[in-house]
Amino acid sequence: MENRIFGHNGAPSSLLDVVSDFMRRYISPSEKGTIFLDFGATDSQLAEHIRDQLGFVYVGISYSHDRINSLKSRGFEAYKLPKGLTSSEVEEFLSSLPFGGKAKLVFFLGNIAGEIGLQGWLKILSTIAKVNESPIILRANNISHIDSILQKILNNEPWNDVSSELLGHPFYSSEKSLNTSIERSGFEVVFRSSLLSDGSKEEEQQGHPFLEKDSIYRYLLTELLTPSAQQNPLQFIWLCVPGNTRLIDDPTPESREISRRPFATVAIRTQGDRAVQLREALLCLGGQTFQNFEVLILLHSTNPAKHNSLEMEIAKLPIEFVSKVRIIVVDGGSRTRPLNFALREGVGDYFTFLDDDDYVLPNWLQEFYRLSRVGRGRVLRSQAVTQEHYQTEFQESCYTRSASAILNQYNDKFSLVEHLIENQSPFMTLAFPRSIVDYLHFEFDESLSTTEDWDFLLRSASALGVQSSTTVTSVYRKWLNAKSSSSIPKYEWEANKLALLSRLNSKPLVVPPGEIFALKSVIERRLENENRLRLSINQDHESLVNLIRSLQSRSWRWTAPMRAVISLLRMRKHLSLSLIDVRDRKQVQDLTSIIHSSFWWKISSRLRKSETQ
Amino acid sequence: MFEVDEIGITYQIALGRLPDKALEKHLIWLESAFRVATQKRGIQLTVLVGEYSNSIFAKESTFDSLIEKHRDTFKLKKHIFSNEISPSATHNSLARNAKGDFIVIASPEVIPEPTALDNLISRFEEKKDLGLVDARQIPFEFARDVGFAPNATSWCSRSFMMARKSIFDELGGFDEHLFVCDGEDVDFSWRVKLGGYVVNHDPTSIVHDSSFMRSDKSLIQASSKVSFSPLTKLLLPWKWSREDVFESVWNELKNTPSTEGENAMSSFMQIKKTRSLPKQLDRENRVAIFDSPNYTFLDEGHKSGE
Repeated sequence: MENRIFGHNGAPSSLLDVVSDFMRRYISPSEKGTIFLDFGATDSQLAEHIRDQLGFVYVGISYSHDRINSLKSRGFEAYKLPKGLTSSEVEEFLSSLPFGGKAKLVFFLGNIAGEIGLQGWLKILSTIAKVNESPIILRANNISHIDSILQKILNNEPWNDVSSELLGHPFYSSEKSLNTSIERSGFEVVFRSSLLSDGSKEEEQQGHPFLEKDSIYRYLLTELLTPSAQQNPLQFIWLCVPGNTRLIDDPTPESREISRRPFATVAIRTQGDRAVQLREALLCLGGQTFQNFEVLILLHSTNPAKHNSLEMEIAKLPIEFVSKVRIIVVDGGSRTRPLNFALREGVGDYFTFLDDDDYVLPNWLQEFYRLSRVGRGRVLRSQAVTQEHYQTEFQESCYTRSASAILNQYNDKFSLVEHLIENQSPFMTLAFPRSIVDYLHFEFDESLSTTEDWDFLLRSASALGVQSSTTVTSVYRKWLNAKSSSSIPKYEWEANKLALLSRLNSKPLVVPPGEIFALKSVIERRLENENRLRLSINQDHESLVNLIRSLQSRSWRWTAPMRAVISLLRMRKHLSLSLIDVRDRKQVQDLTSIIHSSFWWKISSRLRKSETQ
Repeated sequence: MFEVDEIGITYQIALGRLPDKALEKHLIWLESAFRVATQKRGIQLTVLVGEYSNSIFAKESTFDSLIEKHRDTFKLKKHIFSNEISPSATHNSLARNAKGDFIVIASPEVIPEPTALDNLISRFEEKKDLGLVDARQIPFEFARDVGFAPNATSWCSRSFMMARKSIFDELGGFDEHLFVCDGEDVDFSWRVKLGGYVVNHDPTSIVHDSSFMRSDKSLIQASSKVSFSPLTKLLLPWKWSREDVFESVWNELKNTPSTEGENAMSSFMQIKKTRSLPKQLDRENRVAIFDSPNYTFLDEGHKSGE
């Protein structure tokens, strides 16, 4: 079965395109006597298009006098369907029409329902269709599309799925219901097409802020409810043919799967380099008081030896625990890629993420479960403490050791505004409901080599809100002598941070209740800092002048395009240093140092010599 | 490696107030640890569970199913003590009837990592004069001895320790009469050292402890004491011939009135009155460490693992 989307990437999008496409595919050019039977006849251009462009015979059937008269005045055959007929009476009516049985028929079911409804019409037509081997082109508005929803709200229309639609109005249906109706009527879909938009509706909608194209409300609702237009089009237009009837009483595979979901998918990404730490992380999971979870170990950028070694480690664990564990090998991409694999492969109600060197306390999942009962559908957040650790060897075996007191560094309460400044939530303190994937289709941004967790949290928190707890459930280990994300260069962190904030800045951001005072506090702190900076810069004017001179130099500006290209090739966001928000003297000095020690600064030294000459 | 074909280990768990599920989980992970350990040598493992509180939490039917479940791996037995006794007395009683080369004392709130038992046994295989060794706890290590030689320790924690059975018997096990609440593992460790044996810590052997943090961010470690009881703080320096430390603790308890402190002083006086105080040890102060409240060493002189 083929799918084809119209209106994508700027291609012309209309019902006529779709109908033409279907007719060309299904009807042979030699079958010019084919009759196109339009039930409803509401589309003003369709009749001429069928007759004049495609060369078929158009016949309209409608409840409406006006439409019938209009068609007849334009030279088309048209028949008025009496109101109030039962299904059998409609069937009889159609059988009495003069063309039945003589020519090939194509039914177009778009804008007619009446008391019979879509299901009723399909049943009526199935009898005729089977005898004549007639296809049906079926059109329905997607009831879950934001425009359909808003239309229903604004016009105060009933929300009924496919039954008792008002006369002459299009069908509204979900994709699932449409499939069900078609199959129960003895048809099968052979070709699916969709329209992403319907420009004819814009004139009707103007004036209401929710429907204005540039309104923030519409943008938000569209972004969140239809993140992928291809997955949620405005209209379904399907070509169906008589097929085998199938009863749909069995639960769908999806609903069967849901009844068996574990509470949480615990995703652990690892490169297989830290066997001791991974062993400890798995032991922490073994010690959980709440055991309803699955474990995905995402083995990234690895080799067969490490994979084998990991398998052997897993094999040592108790069988009851091993049954929860799946190893997924992820090739290529940045360190963010495994996280998207987790979203695709995980079957839990919630997604949680551990690095292979994290410690979680026995109540880690228990606390998430408790929060899920209180804050349904929200991102869940508990607390972490930090502690320094080091790795060393004893008797040819590696082990880890704590090297500091337990520190409390993160805010107890969650504030989205505060999180725009700094991430206060280590990744393992968060659990994301699977609705973020199933309905909002969120993914991790793989172009971010760091801060990918922060980015995901900000987007999720804005969309769903956060249910936060003050209970400490994990330990963030800071390594004194082992490889970790803290060994990634500072400029890379800054570049990723700027990239994610820039993206957030380009869209409206929903801020939950209670954030206004947090925002006020941040602004006040900023003003205070600015006053301090002004005093500080006045005392050290020269540093700032040096930084500005470096940024404005020809050598730096001329190398900007090359720097952007290299950043792109390395899959990193290009840092535009002219947009830096300078906060203090140290940052001025640090940034100047970064520029002057960079490769591009050094190789462009000749340009600077010519600048000074 | 050992000179015998098979070694005998008695694994003891003193069970007080614990849900059955925790014991079940502990035994599941013990079985994995046993499987790993037996890859290198033959082991005869007997697990003894002693219930020392009046309430029976390990229900008969649950216990019978556990015996059946682990039948092919180790022998599991339960002893119920009719009078409420201390965990140290429980372990002593279990050990009296135990056989084997080694004894493992394990808290029911820990679960051993699959390589933990294998690693501890290896330490005894490497060092003939090793008398006692304990494992490292995660997610929070017991606050002691960090920064010195990896296997250096002033004492071993009974959350997960392994001793030569002969030494345990020779020393009479834990001092159950004096150390009822806590401190018995500190005292035992020092007596092992005093007997000329080595006491070590094995950082490669890991056990998971049921640690939680209160809302004020203070730590609760289920199997280990974060701080010792006032009575233990009096008894340990007295027994280990540190009158200066005893006096300091006594004065502190006196000057900072609290019910617990007053009870501790009163109990001590009662013990003294009934002549139940034991003979004082380590007169030359070679073994016992009182550098810190956790009886850990603080100076470089103790950094060796010997």
